[in-house]
Amino acid sequence: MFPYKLQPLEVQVLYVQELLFMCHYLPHFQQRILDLVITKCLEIDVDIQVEDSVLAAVAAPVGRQRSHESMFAFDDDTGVESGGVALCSSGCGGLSEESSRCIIPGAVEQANKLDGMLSVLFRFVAAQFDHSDGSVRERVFLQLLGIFERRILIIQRSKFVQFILFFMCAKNQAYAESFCRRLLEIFLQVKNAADQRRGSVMYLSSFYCRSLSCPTVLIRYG
Amino acid sequence: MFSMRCGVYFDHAICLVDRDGVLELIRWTVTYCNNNEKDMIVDIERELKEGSDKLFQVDRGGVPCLKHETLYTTVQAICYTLCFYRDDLLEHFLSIDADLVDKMFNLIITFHPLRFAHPIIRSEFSDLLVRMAGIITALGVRVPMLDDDLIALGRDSVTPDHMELIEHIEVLGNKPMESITGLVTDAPFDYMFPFDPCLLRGVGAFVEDGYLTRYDRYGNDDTLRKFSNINSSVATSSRIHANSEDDKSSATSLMQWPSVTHDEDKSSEAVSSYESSLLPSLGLGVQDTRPLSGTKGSIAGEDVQPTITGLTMPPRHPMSTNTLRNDGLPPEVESAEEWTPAPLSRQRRRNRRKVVGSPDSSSDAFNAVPSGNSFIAPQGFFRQGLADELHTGTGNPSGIVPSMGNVVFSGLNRGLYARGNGTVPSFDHFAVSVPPRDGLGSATPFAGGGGDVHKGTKHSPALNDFQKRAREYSVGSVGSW
Repeated sequence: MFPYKLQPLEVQVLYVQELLFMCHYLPHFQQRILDLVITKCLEIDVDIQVEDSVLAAVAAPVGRQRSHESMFAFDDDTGVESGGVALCSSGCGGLSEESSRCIIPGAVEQANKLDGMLSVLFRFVAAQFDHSDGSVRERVFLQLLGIFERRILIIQRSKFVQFILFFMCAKNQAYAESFCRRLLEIFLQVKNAADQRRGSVMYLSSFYCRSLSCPTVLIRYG
Repeated sequence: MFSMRCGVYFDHAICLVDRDGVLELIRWTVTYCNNNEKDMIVDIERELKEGSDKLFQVDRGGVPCLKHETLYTTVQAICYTLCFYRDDLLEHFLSIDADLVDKMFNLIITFHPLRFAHPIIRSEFSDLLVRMAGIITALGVRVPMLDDDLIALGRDSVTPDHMELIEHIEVLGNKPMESITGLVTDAPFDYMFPFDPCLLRGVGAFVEDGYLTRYDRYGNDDTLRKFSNINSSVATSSRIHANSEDDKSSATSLMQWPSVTHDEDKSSEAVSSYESSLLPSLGLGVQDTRPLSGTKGSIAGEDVQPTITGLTMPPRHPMSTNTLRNDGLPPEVESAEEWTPAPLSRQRRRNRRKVVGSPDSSSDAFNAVPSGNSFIAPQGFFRQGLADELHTGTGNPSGIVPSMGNVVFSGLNRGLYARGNGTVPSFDHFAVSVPPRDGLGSATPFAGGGGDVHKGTKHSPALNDFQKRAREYSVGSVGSW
């Protein structure tokens, strides 16, 4: 039984490690194992509260210019580091004009757990890519893409787990194209749920902007 | 999505935006508004009368949701992408399908979808729109919202409709919109963009290699990395093919993008070298030095000696263009040997990359430039009509202006993607080649070009306007040197 989300970090990480190790000798269970791990990660993910620049911008118009910069750029100095996460420097529940996004102190423990679990998952996927042939890689990608559609896309407040798709797309541009194409298909199909369509369009635009492997825009050098 | 529509992938140089989903989103947005126009207008009127509660409805699952929320989310996503890539993406969309972009802006005026967008996005988008007039003028595309007769840049060139759009969004970005229209302004749905920077250090370490941290149109490392990534993938992609030898040569050149370097000077050299090798293969930067029609020695089909614009640059003077001498040196310097150019600031070095050719645009400087070289005309130098005339629908950025000589739009590889679109490729500066001087007439375009003035040739209105504008341009108006 998967440990409850309040169990210590070591327990969570060890359990995920063992689960993923099973994929080596039970490959036909791999999709279900990945599904389980990602679902459990999502449960922790949605619990983590992030102070967003949006709130800071709305609540503190004086800091608007600063917020502009931080929204369209990544500030490595965001917040104060605590463990493996970026911690909000203005205290719990406070709005920080200096930092764009940060995890509130009360959620740091959960964030560290999630960071550990996801790191194990990322290492597993990376190993699959490095030591497998093309068909295995493609199978892993399709499995994760299916899990993304079923689990991650419908969760509005997922903040970290979706980066597993980003990571895979960075490995191969064909995956990035497939990912974009699938998101666009979901959005354009009227029969899909409105939440799903809205989520896909947000994922699409965010991916276009942030992914270096995204084959979208040209733009130009000059 | 990889463009079933796009048959020749290198038709627009490296620009593969035809497969860009953002354009697809814009199309969907316009279609949605066309299909739901009456319903949305009724909703807005009812909202104004009865309050914002009427904006909400119950979806199939019994959950209250905002009407047309998908539309609002999509508009926000489009604006977010446009803001992230700043002017570049908007410029490109305008060059591809200006009507579509115009329709999108019209629906923004009509249905106010941005009132639910993130305040930062609204504000950034309004800034982008302020610059849009200049972009459209430079592109030479026709956007009904802009009046073709207004040629000045910036806010002076916008029509009331366009101004209304800008003011509308600026107001949205600064204060609640309800004070203007009575509509609600706070977005009732989440603003979250899923791939915003990851705050988990462990996860962030895995994704940082493929993550675009900041887009910089002037080509910082991140942008270069993206280009490098695109080019390498293009090189290995079996789906991208060249249909002709020219396409293949272009494709080969495109692979040779300058490598990422932290050394500004080396990078600048690499870019110049790259431009000089790439531009000719794309039909850019190679200027036709045939004599002017109607002047002595000008016979159609005579020897044409292509030269690469920008390779034979005169010595650059530091700042003041109004004291330019014939040799391009400042007046206080006696010879080229004793003149050492002042070190350029970082920003100027960046600007320097954008310009290939001689730095001046004044008439004196134009005359001072040796025949076969180029000068730089600043933004807004050309009237839009003239820009259209230059291209004459050939799809080639190079064009011939009657009685003025050959005009080559070169020096800016940002102009690459204008190739094939028949639009003006440059946005900040144009490089204009100086026609050969044969002693029979003024070689400056301000005087009408060649010997036509003396021969009483009737000039086109576009050319006359060009001359007038050129005279109005004060010496030293080029700010990027």
